[in-house]
Amino acid sequence: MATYNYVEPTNSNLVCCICRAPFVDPVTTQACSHTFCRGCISEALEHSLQCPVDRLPLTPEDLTSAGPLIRSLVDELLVSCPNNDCPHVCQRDLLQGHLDACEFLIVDCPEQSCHQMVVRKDAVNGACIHSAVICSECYAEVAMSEYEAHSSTCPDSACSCEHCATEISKSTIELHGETCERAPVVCTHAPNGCSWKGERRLRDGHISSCPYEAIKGFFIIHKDTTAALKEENALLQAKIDALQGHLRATTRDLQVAKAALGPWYTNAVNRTEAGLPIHHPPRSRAPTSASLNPATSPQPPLPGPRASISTLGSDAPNPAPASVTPTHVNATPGPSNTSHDWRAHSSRPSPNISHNWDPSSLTARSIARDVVAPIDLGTSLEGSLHGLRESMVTLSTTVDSVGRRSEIALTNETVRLNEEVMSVRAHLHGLRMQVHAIMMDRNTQVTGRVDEGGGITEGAWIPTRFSQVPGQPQIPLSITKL
Amino acid sequence: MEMTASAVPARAAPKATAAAPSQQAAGSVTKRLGNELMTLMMSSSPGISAFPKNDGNLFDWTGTIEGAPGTIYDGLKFKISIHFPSNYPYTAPAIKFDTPCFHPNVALDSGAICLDILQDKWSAVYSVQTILISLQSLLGEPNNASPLNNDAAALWARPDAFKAQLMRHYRPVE
Repeated sequence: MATYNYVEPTNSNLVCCICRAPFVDPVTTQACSHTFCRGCISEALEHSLQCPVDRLPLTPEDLTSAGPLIRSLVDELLVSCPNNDCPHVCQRDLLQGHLDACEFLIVDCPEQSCHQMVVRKDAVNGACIHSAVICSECYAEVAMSEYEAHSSTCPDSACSCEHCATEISKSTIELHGETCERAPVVCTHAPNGCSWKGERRLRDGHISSCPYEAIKGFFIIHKDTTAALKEENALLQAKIDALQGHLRATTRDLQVAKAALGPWYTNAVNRTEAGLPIHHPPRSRAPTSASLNPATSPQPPLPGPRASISTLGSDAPNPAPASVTPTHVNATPGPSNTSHDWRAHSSRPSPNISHNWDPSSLTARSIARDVVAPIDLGTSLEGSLHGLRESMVTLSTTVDSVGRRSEIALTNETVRLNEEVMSVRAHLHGLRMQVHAIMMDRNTQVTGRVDEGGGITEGAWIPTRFSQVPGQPQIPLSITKL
Repeated sequence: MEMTASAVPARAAPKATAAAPSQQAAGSVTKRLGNELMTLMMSSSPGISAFPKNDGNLFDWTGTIEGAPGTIYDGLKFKISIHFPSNYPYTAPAIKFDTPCFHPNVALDSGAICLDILQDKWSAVYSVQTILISLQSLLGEPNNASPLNNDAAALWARPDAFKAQLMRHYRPVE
C-alpha cells in the first residue's frame, strides 16, 4: 500500500512508534496492549520475537486487530491524493475510491505501439500525446504534450509592436524596435543637453528647429579640443610625476651630501646664497667633491687631485729652502739634496690625503696642533680645505726641518762620543801596559835576584807606580813610556 | 503494508500503476527518517544534534554529542557518524565516534561503540534522538563490565588520570 500524505498534524496517540506515521491496519498486542501497524509489527517480529516497546515475548499470534474506535479515528484523517498535480483531498478510507477515478493517475498510453506513460485525463481521447505535431507558426515538430508550452514561446508566433501596433513575429520584434516610427526616442543632441523626447517620426522635424543643431559645428570643435586638452593634461601629469620622482631623488642625494658635509653645510649654502648644490660640476669646487666622494662621482676627481698635487709640487720647492734654517742646511751634506728629498716625501702622502679624506679625524688632528691654523667655520669648505692644505705643507716642512735638526744633533753627539771612546780605549791600553810591566817585574823577582841593587830600585818603584794608576794626568806618561 | 524480500525485476518502462515493493520500503524508510529529522529539529534536546551529511542522502547522518554537565566529559563535544541500513528501523543504525573518545565502551582508534541497544537490544521504536540521549548518558556512566577500551576502564576510578588521558586524545570539533 502506498504511504499516505497527511495534510494536517496527527494526534500522537494515533502514531505507530515504528513507522512514525498514523496507524495503517492497526493491531494491538494481547499481553501489553501496545498498538502498531500490522505491517510494522510483522516486520519487527521477523527480527526479534518481542514487543519493541517493552521487550515482552511476542509472536504474530498474539496480535489482534485494534478496536473499531482507533480504526475509524485513523480512517477519518485527511490525506491528499498521491498523484502529481492532483489537488484532491479526502478522508483516508475514501482515497482508494478517488484513486480509481483520479484524472492524474499515471496510466499506459492508449496508443498500443507507444510504451510511455500518460496521466489519465490525457488518455481519454484515445490519441497518443507523444506523437509529434507541427507548430503552425514555426513549422517545428513538437510533441503534443509540449505543444502548449511551445506555442507561448515559439519565436515565429505573432505579436504586436507596443508602439505602432504592427503585427510582427517575436523573433524580429527587437529589430523592429530600432526602426519603429512610433517608438519613443530622444534628440540626437541629448548628450549635449537637449531635453526633447518624442516619437521617432517626429525627430527629424525637431532637429530642424533644435537650438543645438545650429551650433553642431561648435560641439564638434569643442569635443576635439577637449579631447586634445585631456590628452595633453595626461601627458603633463605624467611629466609632473616623473619630475616629482626626480626631485625626490635629488632631495635624497642632497640629504646625503648634507650629512657628509657636516658642519660646513650651512656655511656653504649661506655663502652661495642661491642654495647652489655643493657638488655642482663647474667652478673650483670640483676638487672638494672629488676628495669627499671619489667613488660616487668619478668624472670630476681626475682633474681635481691632479691639480692639487701640481699646486703642491710647485709650492713645495719654494717654501722648503726658506723654512729650513741656514745652519741646518750647512750641517747636511748638500742643500739641493734636501729639497729633492723633501719633495719626494711630501708629494707622496699628499694624494693619499686628498683621496682618503676624513673630515672628522682631520679636524680633530689639526685642531690639536698649534702649528696648523685652527679651522675657521666662518669660511667655506673650500677655504677650510685650502687652509688645511697650506697647514699641511707647512707642517711637512717643519717635520722635515725637525728631522734634519735632530739628525745633525745626532751626528755631533756621535762624533763627540767617538772621541771619548777613543780616549777611554787609550787609557785602557796604558793600563794594560802598566799591568804588563808589573807582571814582568814580579817575574824577575821570583825567578832569581840576579841583580840585588836593580831589584831594590825596582821594588821601590812599584808603590809609586801603583799609586800613580788611578791618577789621570799620569796616563800620557805611561803611554810615552810604552 | 506488504514487504517482499525478493526485489521485483524492474522493467525499463514500468507499466504498473503502483511502485515496486522495494521502492515502497525505501520510501517508508525515507519517510520515517524525514520524520525523525523533523522531530529532532523541533525538540530542543540539550547537547545533542544530528543532520544528514548531504541533502541527497538521508541514510548517512552526522551528529554531535556534548558531555553532560557534572560528568567528566562536561564541556567536551564529540562528533559521531550514523549510517542507517535499508531495513531501518527493524535493524539498528551503525554508529561510531569520529572524534577520538577515551571511554571504557568506545574503541579509541575506530570509534566503535559497545552499547547493548545498538546491538542485540535494539528495538524498532528507538530513534536517532533516543540513541543520542543514550550515548550522552553512556559518556557519564560507562559500563565497565564489558569494556572496549581496557585502559579507560582501568583508569575510570581515578578521575584525574582519566581526565588527563581523555584530554590527551581529545580533538576539538571544528
